[in-house]
Amino acid sequence: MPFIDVKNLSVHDPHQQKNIVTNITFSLHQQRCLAVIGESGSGKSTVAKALIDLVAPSLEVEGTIIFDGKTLTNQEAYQWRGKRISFISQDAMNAFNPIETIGHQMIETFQQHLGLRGKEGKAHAMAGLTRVHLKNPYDLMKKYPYELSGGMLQRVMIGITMMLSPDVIIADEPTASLDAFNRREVIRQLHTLKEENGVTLIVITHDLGVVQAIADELMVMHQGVMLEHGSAKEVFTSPEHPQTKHLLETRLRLSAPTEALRQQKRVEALLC
Amino acid sequence: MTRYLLKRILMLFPLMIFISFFAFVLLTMRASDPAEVALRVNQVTPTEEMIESMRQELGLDQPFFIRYATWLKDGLTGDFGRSYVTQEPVFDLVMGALPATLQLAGAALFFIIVLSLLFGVICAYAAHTWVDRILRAFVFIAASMPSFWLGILLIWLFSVKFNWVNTSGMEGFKSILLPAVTLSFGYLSTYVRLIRNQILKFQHEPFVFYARARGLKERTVQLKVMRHALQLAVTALGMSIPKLIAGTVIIENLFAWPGIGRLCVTAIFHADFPIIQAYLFVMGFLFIMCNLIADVMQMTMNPQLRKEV
Amino acid sequence: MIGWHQLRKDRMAILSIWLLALVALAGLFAPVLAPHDPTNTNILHKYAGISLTYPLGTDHLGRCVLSRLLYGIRTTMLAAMLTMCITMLIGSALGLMAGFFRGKVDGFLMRLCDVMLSFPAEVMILAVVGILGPGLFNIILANVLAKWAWYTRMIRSSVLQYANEPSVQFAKVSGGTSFYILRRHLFPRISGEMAVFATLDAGWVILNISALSFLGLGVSAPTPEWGMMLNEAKNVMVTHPAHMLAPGLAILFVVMALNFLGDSLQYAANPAMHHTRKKEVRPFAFYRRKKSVRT
Repeated sequence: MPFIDVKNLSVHDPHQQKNIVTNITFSLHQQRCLAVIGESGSGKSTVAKALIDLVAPSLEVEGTIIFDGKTLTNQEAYQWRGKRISFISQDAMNAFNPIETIGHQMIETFQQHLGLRGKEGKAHAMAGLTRVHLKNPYDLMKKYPYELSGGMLQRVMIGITMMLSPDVIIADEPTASLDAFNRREVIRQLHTLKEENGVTLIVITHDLGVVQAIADELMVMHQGVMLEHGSAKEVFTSPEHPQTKHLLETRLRLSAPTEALRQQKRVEALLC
Repeated sequence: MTRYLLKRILMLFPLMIFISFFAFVLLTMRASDPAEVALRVNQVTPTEEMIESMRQELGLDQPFFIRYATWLKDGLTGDFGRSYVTQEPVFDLVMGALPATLQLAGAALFFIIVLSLLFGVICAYAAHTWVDRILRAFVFIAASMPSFWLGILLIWLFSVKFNWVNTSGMEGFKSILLPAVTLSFGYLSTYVRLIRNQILKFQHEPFVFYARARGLKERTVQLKVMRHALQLAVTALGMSIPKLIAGTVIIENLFAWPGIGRLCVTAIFHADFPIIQAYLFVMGFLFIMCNLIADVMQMTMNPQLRKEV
Repeated sequence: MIGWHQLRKDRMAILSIWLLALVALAGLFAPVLAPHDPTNTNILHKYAGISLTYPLGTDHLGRCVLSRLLYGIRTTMLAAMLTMCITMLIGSALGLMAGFFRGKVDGFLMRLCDVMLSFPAEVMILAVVGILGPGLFNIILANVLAKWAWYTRMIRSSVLQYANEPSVQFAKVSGGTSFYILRRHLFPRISGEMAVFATLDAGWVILNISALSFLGLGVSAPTPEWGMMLNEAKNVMVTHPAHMLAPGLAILFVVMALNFLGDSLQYAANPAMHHTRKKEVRPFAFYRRKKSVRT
């Protein structure tokens, strides 16, 4: 049985009379990774938000989402958010509360979900920061979000996610604002989570490198509609829709042929 | 941060010089001769000689800048001259009346904080319902109402009709209640709207989204929102404290509250200029100090601002 | 720029405009509408009740309350309008100069404004009235002195916003005289915002004028003025409390209309605010959402 089953997910904006997302249907088995790609404004983020029921309240959501056999309702989502379904935000710089320290925000999350207070919470937080290879976790925890770079904040988010041991991780553009080094780190960590911890991944991304590195299945979105859905290799090598072809070509063309080959080699090296 | 503070405190001095200069200039603009006034007020029909001697006594025959320098020097030592009417030192009069005004302003501030927090939060969390609309209409009317009208209506209601409180003078808790509430009404609208709009605005912030996504309880998330929302309100409140202190004038006169507002108005009726001068000076000084404190408070609350400094 | 079409949709704003227009007209035609001379005392008929001769009764000196209200419109409105006009004139002239010419002129004016703004307005007004003595003219002067710096500041920042726009730059480059630019380009742009400031402030000015008259520092008897009428009503509070109603309500309604209009203008002038109103959602709605994900 698939772990995540989504049927006819649609999001509608009643004020502007627009369909943001229409009839998204897919299923994902445990310990698999689905990558969602598409141009900006194709509704990828909205799908991600709908999966944890955090779409803006003025929008209407329809369809069924089933996690581990249970239908996702308002109540269920509220219970599961963070603990069973973890979310990694796109904009790391603004994701944290600017007037609280990183440490405080991490500890309160652990306190909420794992019941860890005080010293235990701190230890857990430091462990999380170490796992994502952030230096000086003790000092880092005392800092405020504006004192850290986007890459570091992104890794903090991943650190929090890792320490919560969720069943599902939904990552919205986890590598968007990162430099090459951090990008590689993030991809590596996500991969580890999938392989070693059995986490089911849904990754929304522009970055075809990420898709190549960790995606098992691929979904292409365009203007709120699901264009293609299938195993990553298939969609990548033989796309059906012209838009998909266009998308893939544009992306690949951005890198010279030799670079693409080098990328391929590097990705393979990553996975060893 | 300390450097910024020092810089601000240093700026105080030139600003105070300007204020004192302005206060002094204003005084020299008056039409009537203060010597003559001083004499007349004491029921003395002045002759030329008496005016001349009074002028000398008051030091009015000196050139402008010398007068100003003398005045400033005296002011710095706390000597603002004597009231034309009662011959008491102005400094004593003003300092004697200041605590009463501060008490009234403090009580009004208390009501403003309590009521606007209450109404603001209620309006935000019941946004667009009838509760929200009625409360907002209420504070809107309260802000458009002349404060003295509200005052006399309340006096009539509670003193004449019900005979609950005593509405003149200063006699403990009961007598501060009515003036403080009346004073607070005019300011509610600003803060209720501010708090309400800030809370509603922050619901859409990315950090609120991520806090929810992390699975934090909605209650916790709302507390964070409120901390942000109140920041602006606190700053605004801080900046309006001197305005509050200055705005006690009408209420003090209405309720016969012995504060500096009442002192000043009485002085105006008697053309008692030293008091008016001192009032201007003291209020200007208070205003600048309060602004400074408000700025410092804002920086403490928001660490990001410290970085910019 | 003000979105006039937006304004037309706002029913309450239209109501406010109508109310204010009505009041203004009533004041203008007071000699025609008022049943009696407002200063005509008639001790025999003092404290008369509501009747056909005296639609709102008479006060402690036997003067017709309605007539005094109507003539009071003239006093209050005239004073308020004068204050606003003079303040806006000074404020815009100085603000335009400071914002457009920058440099030393700007620096000097801003220092001056800083000093002026370092006093709360009420203190300034009291000080000026105190020095120059009571009287309607002095009140107007006091109000102008108190507020001109604020207007100058506001207008200057508006000008700074618009002065960098391409149209203005082009006019500068193609040799338009400064005065021409000020008149044709900047003035129409800022007049919208000025209208908003003015309306929002007008209510405050009226409250101020009537407050000073209430204290006895404004008009001198027997000139009819609402604040003064409330002062007289206060003195007979115990025996004739009803006299407190009419003048107070009059001030209340006029100020309410002005404040409402000011708010609506501000909302209409700022297109960014249009969207925020619609998207305002109650907090906790995420939590208690009715339309959740369903089959």
